[in-house]
Amino acid sequence: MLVERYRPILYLQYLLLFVDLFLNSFIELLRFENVILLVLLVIQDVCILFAAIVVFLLFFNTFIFQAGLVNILVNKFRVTITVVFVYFCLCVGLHVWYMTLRWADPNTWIWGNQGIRALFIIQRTASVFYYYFYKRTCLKLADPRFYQDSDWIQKEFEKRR
Amino acid sequence: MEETKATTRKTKLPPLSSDNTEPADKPKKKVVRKKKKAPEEPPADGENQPKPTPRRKKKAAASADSTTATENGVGGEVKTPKKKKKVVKKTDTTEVDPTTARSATSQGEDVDGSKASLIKTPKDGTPRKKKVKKKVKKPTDTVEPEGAFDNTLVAELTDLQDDIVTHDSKKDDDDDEEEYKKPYSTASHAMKSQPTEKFYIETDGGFKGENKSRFIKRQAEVEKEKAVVREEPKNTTIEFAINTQAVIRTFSLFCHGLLAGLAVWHIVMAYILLDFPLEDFILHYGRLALPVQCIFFILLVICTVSALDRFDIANPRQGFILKALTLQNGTVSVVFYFAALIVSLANHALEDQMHLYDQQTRNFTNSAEKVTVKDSDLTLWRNLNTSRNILTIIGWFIISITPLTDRLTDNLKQTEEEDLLGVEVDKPKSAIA
Repeated sequence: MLVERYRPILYLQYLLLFVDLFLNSFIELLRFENVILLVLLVIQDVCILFAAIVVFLLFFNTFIFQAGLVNILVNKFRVTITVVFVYFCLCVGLHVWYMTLRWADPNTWIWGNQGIRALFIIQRTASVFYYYFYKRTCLKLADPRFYQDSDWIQKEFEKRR
Repeated sequence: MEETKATTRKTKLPPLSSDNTEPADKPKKKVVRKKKKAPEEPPADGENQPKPTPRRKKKAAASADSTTATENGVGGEVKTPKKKKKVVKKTDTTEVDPTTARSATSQGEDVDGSKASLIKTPKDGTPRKKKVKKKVKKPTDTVEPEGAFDNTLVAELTDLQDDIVTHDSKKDDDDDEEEYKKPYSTASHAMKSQPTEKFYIETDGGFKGENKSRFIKRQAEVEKEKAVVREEPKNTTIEFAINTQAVIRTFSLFCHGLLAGLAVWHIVMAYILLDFPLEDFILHYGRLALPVQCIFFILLVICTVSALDRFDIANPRQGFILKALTLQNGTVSVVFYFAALIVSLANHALEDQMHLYDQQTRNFTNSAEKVTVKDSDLTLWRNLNTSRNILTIIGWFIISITPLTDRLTDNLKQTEEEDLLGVEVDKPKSAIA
């Protein structure tokens, strides 16, 4: 894959990660209106979805995927895919609970419930793993060998025909 | 031998003035003799007069060509001692030696070569030359103006011939080497030039002095640099990815330091402010509570991800886990940063409480619910805050022990060696753009 095509993809991935980090850390300072909060949280979820889509598009671009050997690629990056989906679920859950608590008045103290505290801590900790594994996957997928033909791929393809 | 030489001198060319001028006169005389068919010189006494004149003419004619004149003037002077030597040793030989052509002619030896036409070939010796001179004497006056031009030509030709050094096998080796090395030595034997420490390099403005040893050192360094930097930065996707990772690493190093500094400041400030009663504390710290919490969170996340990158957790290689568990490579900093993150998040609720309490006391909020902050809450906050900051500082300390470790970049760079997807992969045949 040419560098010219890879560069905007990597930049887009970094941007998505940065938006997610920014929203995660500064959402508490942006408690102006409940609708604003809602929009921001929805943006965060959409960013996670977009990130997952871009990663899968990169997968589809690899020669291995095009040869039909989907399992191998998924097997190699299973940790990343798992983390992304788990984090997405945690995010959505927390946001839903968060918004139900803050919808009436954004400036209330919602942390009386121990459950929301725990979920909050877990979601924020999972975000670290999400950033780390996602960035690592982006950089690993830059390997040009993924997009090139090789004897081994030919052999595997012959095996599975 | 010297006597014969002296006698020949006496017979042919009586000295003009003193002995000092003899060597100077001699070659010129000989040159003159060679050049002119006419010239020339009266056998013994009469030679003095035409010699100065042809010499002067030759000088005048050759004035434009200063090199020849100087050569003749200088070379001639130096030559004579050698020629004397040659003359001393060569009296028996009849071989042609262009450097000794003058002496040869003076001694009556055979002279071959291109100058045969110019130079009379005396067979017997001096008496013949005398005769030749006598014969030639008449037409000297008429031929002189033309002869002046011929003088320069002949002078140049003889100089050219003199430049050719032929090897005479019969001579001693020492003499040969001497002649080879210094045919025209213009150096005075009194003081030879000594090599100094400086040498001068020409620049645009002029000459710049340069110390030899320093220059040599610098040249060596430049050569080393040239030898080292040969690889071109490959313009592949993986190179681009590694470059972005380098940028992130630089930024995260800055964040590590910034976070550690903030942690130290926060501990000090918190302890000073906690000397005051609760209300005062909230009054002073209330506005800082939430922003500081957010900044701590974002910096902790960046630092934790950076620590994970440095010790590439997702890529355990041989012995890495063992080293990590035995605290050999600093992976424990990841643990510290994670702990700091969790504690900070646990503190979030209390900080939010303080923030809302502060807003309440300032009457910024309209909420029905009243928020209270108890002393027990404050104690808890203080403990959590202190532990978070200390964990951050320890994590930064461990990172700073080995600040250059970056296993992610190392692993990314090892794309050539390791096999892809965990299986044997042959070298790729064709690239799909």
